[in-house]
Amino acid sequence: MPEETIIRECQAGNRSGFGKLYDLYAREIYDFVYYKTHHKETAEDIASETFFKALKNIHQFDASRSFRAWLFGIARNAVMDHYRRLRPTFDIDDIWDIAADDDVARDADTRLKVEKVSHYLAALPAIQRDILILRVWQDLSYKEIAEIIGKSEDNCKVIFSRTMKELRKKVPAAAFLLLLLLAH
Amino acid sequence: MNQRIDAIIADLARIDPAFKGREAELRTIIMELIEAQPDTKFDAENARRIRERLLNKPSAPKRSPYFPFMQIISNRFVPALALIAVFIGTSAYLVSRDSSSQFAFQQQFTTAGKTAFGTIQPALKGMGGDGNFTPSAMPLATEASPRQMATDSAAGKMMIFPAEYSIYEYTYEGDPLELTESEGTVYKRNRGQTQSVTRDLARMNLGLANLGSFDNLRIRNFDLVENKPYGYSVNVNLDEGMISINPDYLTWPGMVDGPGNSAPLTRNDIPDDASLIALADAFIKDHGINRSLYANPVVQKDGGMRILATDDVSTSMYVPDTITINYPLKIKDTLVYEEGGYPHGLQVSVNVREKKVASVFGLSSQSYESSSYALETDEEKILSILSRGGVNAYIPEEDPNIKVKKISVSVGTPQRILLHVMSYDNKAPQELFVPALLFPVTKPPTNEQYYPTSIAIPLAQDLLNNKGPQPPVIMYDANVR
Repeated sequence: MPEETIIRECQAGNRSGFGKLYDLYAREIYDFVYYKTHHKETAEDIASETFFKALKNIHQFDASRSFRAWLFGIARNAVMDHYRRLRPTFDIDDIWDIAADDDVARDADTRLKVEKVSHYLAALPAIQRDILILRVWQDLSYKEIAEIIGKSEDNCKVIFSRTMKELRKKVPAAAFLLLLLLAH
Repeated sequence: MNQRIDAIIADLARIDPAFKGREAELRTIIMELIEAQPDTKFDAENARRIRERLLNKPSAPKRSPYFPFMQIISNRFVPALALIAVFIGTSAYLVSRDSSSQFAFQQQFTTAGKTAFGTIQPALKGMGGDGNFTPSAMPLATEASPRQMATDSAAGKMMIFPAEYSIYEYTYEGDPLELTESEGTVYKRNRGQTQSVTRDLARMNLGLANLGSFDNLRIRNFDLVENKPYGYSVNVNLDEGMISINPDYLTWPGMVDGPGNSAPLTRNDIPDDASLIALADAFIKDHGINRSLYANPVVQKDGGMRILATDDVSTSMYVPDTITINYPLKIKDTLVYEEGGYPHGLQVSVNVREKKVASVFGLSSQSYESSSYALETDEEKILSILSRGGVNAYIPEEDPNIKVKKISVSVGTPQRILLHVMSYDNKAPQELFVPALLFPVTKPPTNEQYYPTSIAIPLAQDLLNNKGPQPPVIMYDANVR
């Protein structure tokens, strides 16, 4: 059954098809939330909260827009709300805004994996970081990213290119030189 | 993976021709990012757990007086009746039955003995995102001669992070400091406390679990949500003694189903400072927030708000959706600052598209203990610490293989402030406010990306003598692919 039909039926009160929407987007939403929380249980909580809110408010969804973008938007806000409840005095968007030695829950293996890039990514504004995650880690197109972020496709491209310029200045030259040496 | 990287690089070259010829550099960066991509380990078990929570609808408990129509999808979690039970049960640390009482938001002080808060021991908060790291030494992304640290270890060959640094040297050009007081007052904010719940609330079943089966339940925090367009979500944290206000994004256009106006914002869209402050002031007044605790508000123009520092409407700098107005807190008429040199206090964010206040952070109960601590009176010592950028400044060790570029920054006569410090002595976090000096940057370096507007130097000897852990030397695998 096409997605639009499932959504229309849910909006009409027949929510039995929502499970199919869940199956379509569960992985993407969970992955996105995990990239912003680095903690399995937290990501599961927020992912389920995202789908819960989507189901509860599906009657408000404008079917002419992208359902996927709507879901991602709910997920982004749910992550923000989670951290702002944890640290109400700080303007925190996700785990990247929290220092590595803070006692906020995060998976140890992920903490190690992202250690090399956490310094650069933590210094980026949240919107640049989200675009980078969606483009590099989730391999979404700029059109899809634009719908999720709520900016034009061109604006997203400019923001991404600006981010890469900033990273070019910060990524250690040693790593770059080694790449050149290994390539020859 | 190579196809993915090629596609990203090709895109970048189309977006900005300056990237052409930089493919090798971009490939390095993108490969590093991809290698650091967390393994989410999403599997069938994850999917099942999330689905179960979402789609299981527990049957309504037959005799619950509070949940006659308990269905998770269609009802709020906490019906109004139970919420009233919470308020009746809580003691009035933040919530008072007397609606005219604002005792929690007037400052109150009690005096404790000398050094009552133990040794002031800040933890190093890390180098990203919290503004607490003074840029005394920044690595240059130029040619480097990597130094090999470990050669035949089982972990492989490692190198120290880049072999070139830019060091900022701060030159004082102000009046003599006149540090005559050998003792000063440090304040500790009394946090809130969890509140016990009423017996009725503790008997709540929710159709999921019997809360009465748990012992000595207490409430730590709760959310209240306005049920109207542009409604707010108010989080009350009884443990911390804090309130934060955020938009209930389900009722703000554009926050869930995409923005009504998707045009990117420009510099012209940003209201002037007076208009932004007027919006923030009106919100504070409308919601009974005690404005007298704070100094005059200032629009934040550093960090992600750097576009506000320019009037050039043709700038391509990123325009944020929200602008923050800072209301610096005053304790005993002394302004409070964070270690990064920016004001501590109330932060009111205005949504530029909607021209409405979006959030308020930093509303905290104002009950303090005060205690005497030894202060530094040696002017040379203070200026020496200032010259390297502050107590937490990181200076790399001298090494003939490391090139150092020194950049001069001038600072002027300081003002006396209180420095907001989280201290971790006695094994519990304490929120302290410590006498300090705030030196304004009068001549920042030109042709450099340098953002601090001031440098804060504490006067408490504990903080000057106990630097805390330095940032670790970052090791990179020499076998970088």
